[in-house]
Amino acid sequence: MAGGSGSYYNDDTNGYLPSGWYSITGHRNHFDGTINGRVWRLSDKWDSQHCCLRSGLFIRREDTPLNDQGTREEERWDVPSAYLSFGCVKVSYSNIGAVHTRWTDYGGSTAHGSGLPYPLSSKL
Amino acid sequence: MDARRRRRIAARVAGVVVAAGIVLAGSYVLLGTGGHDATGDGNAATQGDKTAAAGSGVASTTVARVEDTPGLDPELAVIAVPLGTQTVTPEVSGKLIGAQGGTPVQLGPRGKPGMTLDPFGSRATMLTTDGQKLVYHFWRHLREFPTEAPGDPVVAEGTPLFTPTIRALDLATGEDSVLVSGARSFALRADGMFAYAEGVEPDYRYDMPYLQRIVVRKGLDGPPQVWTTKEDRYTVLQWARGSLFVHREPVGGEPELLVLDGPGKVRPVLPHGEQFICTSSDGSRILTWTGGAGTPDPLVLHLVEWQGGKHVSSLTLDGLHDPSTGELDPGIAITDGSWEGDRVVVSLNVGGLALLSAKGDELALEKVVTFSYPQADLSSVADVELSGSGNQVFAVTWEGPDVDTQDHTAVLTYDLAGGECSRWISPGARALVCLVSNPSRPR
Repeated sequence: MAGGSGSYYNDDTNGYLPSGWYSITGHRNHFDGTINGRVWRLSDKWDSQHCCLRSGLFIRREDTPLNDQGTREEERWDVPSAYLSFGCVKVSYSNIGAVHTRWTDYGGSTAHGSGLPYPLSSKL
Repeated sequence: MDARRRRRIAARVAGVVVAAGIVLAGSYVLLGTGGHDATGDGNAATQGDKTAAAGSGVASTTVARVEDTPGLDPELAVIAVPLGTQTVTPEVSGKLIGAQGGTPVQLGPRGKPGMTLDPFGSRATMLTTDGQKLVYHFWRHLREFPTEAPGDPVVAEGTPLFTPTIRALDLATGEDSVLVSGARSFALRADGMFAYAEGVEPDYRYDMPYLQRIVVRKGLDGPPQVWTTKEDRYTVLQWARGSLFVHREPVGGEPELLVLDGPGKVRPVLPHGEQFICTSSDGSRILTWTGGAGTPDPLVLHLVEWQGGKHVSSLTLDGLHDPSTGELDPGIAITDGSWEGDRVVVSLNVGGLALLSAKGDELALEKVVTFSYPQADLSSVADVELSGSGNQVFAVTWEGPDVDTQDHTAVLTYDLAGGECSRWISPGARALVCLVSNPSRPR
């Protein structure tokens, strides 16, 4: 699965996350930060192949804090460039709802925030 | 885009036929001298409106054969860090190879597990100006990194996993000691000014952002002075004349270049979305880039006088098309760069190097070099460095048994005049190699 590393372009990973188990450490709708909208925060991960620490990992789309599309490039889903990122696993504009549904269908929590019941384990 | 797949990439180039490899066409834009300087908020750098005619394409050189050498180039020193296979984190620290032509020197404190690199991506590894000491990272390993797999030990958020340290090895005496504990990423200026990012808390804690402040000392042992006004995720890059370049790294966002001119004097110099690459030999100008990966725009290189943020000229790199879609490849990014005199080399995440000239106010693409020898991973040429003469390029590249496996790194030495390429691999265990070099300018 491709995602940014939370680090530079030059961490040699080309964005690919190491396979394995991750915890979902939090889930928010309407997140308002450097990234916005519906987000799931992933646990940090050690990449033994490249000796780097993957951090700042999220599953998200490119949204405004209101979960809709804005005018700025980082708040607008522009295929295919929108899949590239610095620290996130990107989900397409049309699939974010399905991701949200499947997350809850397969045991994920509807709770928003970063406290209980998070972290929840998941395999990527 | 699967950047690791070995493929032929056809490119649209006017008047040039190339059989294989990456071809980039440069269109040249000269900015008028009437363009105003940027204000201190880093948002006002604008470009003039004089545009030269689009240039013709340049041919690429494909290096299909390399000559293996038993020894490292005499101009180089490296740190070789063994890559872990069975363990989650490596237990063996790295070795210094090549300094003073001697035998490899084991780094790190004896008996303490850890690794001689910064896993957050700083490649800082350098000799002091007098060449007597090697300053390097050592991340002390406190406990195994959690796998999060069912049945494996649960590690609570906030558990200390590493203690980042900066150490110094005296090459004459062999003494290896801690300079700073709880710090990472650093820069050394020619007059001895030493800057680093000190953790607000000394340890990296699981799933917690490692917040830091930037500290500067006069000499390796001088009293520390905090230069930043806010705690944040920082990486120290280099000195440029009297100022310090630092990246601020927001979670999930792109790095922002900050210039620190002194204690409490922190300012951005580049517009949002513009990324720093490298600095001119005299420290007065920087090369940056916009567009490319993550945007719908072509990749553009910029020559910038960083003191005022003035954009002097720019060069659009276009013409890289994926033959399967006919679309401009959206994933191009610059991974590293080096500048000596009027010669610049940048490495591309899709593989290969772009060689540029930066004469006066002009920025021009001279050549593109790709590597297609059997073990090369086209997507992973990084950590490039021009030799002092500017006639050779040193590059660290990943290699593997097949195109999808990055197994170890190799150091390539490419001669710009003759086109010969030699390769050196650290003997023994598979290793990640980092060049010992100081990017601060002027030297």
